Amino acid sequence: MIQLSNINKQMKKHPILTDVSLNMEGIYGLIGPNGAGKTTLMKIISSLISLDSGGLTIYGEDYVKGKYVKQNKRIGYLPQDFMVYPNISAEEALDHIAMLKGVMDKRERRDTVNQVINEVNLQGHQNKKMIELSGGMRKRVGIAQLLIGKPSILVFDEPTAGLDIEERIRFRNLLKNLGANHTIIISSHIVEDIEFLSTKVGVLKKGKVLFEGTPAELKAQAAGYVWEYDATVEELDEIMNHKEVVQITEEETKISVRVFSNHEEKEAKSVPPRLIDGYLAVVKGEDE
Amino acid sequence: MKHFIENIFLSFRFDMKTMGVIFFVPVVMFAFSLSIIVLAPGIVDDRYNNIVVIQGLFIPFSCWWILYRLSEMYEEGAQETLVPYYSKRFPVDFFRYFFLHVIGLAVLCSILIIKYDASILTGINVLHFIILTLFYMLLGTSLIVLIKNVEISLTIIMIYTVLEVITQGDYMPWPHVFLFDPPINGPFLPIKLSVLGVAVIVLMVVTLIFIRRADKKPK
Repeated sequence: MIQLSNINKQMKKHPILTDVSLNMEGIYGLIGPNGAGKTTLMKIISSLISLDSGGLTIYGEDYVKGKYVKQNKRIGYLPQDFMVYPNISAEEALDHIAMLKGVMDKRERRDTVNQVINEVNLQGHQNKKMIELSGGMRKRVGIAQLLIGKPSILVFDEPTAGLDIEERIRFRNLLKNLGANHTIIISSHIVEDIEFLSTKVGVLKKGKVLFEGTPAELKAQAAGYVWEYDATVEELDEIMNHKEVVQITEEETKISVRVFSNHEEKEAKSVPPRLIDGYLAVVKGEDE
Repeated sequence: MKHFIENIFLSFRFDMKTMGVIFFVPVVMFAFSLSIIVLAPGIVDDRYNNIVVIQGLFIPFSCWWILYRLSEMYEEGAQETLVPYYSKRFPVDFFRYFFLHVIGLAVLCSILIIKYDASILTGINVLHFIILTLFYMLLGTSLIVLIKNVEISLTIIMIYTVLEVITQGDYMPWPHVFLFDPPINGPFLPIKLSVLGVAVIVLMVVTLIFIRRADKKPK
C-alpha cells in the first residue's frame, strides 16, 4: 500500500496540490478534470518532480528524501506519450533499456526481453521500428520496459488516451491482467476506464482530494441525483436545453434520457447511479 | 569485467544506430586535424599552430557524442522514461567518450612528436589538452541539461569556440581557456589552468544537479 500524507506542490507560486492524502492499493483510479493535478501527483510518486512538503510511505517505509521521493526499483512510471529511440526496433530499445537497468549478461538480457515481450503480447511486432508502431503497441513497449525492472507498483498516466476503441479495450484488458500481481495506479479522465479497472478510486479537483473510496461508494454519492426520462424526439430538445443530460439511449419506441439533478424531477423516474454520476456528484458538490 | 567490456562495445554500436551518420562527425574532425598536422609544411615558426588546431578543431568536438546521447532524454515522450536511467548511467557514458578522445589526443600528440620533436609539446600542453577536453564535454552536458535542446547547445559551443580561436582570445572580455602561445612559466599560466579547473568543477556540479530534473519540458 502507498500512503500519501499532506502532499503540497506549488509551481510559480500557484498551488498545484494542496494537502493531498491518499491510501493507494489494488488497482487505484485517480480521476479528475483537466488541471486537477493528477499528472503532477503521478510524477511526484515516480520521483520525477519534487514536492514542497508531505510524506510518502510504501508498506510503512518512508520514501521521501529531501524534496523528492527516493528513486527506487519498486515504482515504474509510464507517461501519457511514451516514445524512445524512434529509429530502432522495439526489441533493440528494450535490450538497451535492460542494459541501462543493470542487466549486464547478454543471455540473461535476451531472456528478460523475450519474457516481457510475451507478457505484454508484443510478439510479431518486436522487430518493427518504434516510430512504425501504433499508439497502443508503443504503450505496450512502455509497459514492457517497466516490467524489466520487476517493479511491484506500476503508475500509468492517462493510459488509454489517444487509442482507438479496439486498442483501448485490448490495453484495458492488459492492465487488468497486470493488476493481478502488481499495485497499479491509473490517472484518467475517462470514467469508463476507471470503472472497468479500479478497485479503489480517488477524485482530485484543483489539487484537492474530493473523495476516496471504492467505486460502489463513489456511485453512492449520486444516490437520488440521477433521473431517467422516457422522451420523444421532440421532447429531447427541450430536455437537452434545460437539464444536465449525462446519457441518451435510443430504443425502438422511445429515447431514454439520463439526467443529473440535485432536486426531484417529477416527470422522470429515479435510477441507480453509475460511477460517472458519482463522479459528477462529487465534482459538482465542490462547485456549489 | 567481460560483461562490462562487452556492454561498452554494445553501447558504441547502439550510439551508431541511434545517431546515424552524425556519430562520425568527431571522427571526421579527428581525421581533419590529423591531415592538417601531417600535411602542413614543417616550418619552425608556425609549428605551434598545430597545437592550436588540436585545441580549436579536435577538442571542441569532444562534447558531441555525450551531448547527442543526453539529448535523447529530451525528445518528445522520452523524458520521464530516460531521465532516471541516463542520470544513473552518466558516469559510464561520460568516461567511455572521454577515453576515446584521450586516445585521439594521444595519436595527434604522437604524430606531432614524430613530425617535429619532443620539444614541441610540454607536460603543460598535455595537461591543458586533457582539462580542455573535460571542459568541453562538461560544457556540452551542462548546456543540454539546462537548455534541453541539442541544436541550441551546439550553436553556443561553436560560436564560443570560433570567437575564441579566430580572435585568439583578444575580443571577448571573459576568461580564456585556450593556449595560443607556447606555455611560459609565469603567473599567467597557473591562473589560466586554475580558471579552467574551476570551470570544469562548476560545470560538473551543474550537470549532476540538473540531469536528474524532469520538471521542465524540453524547449
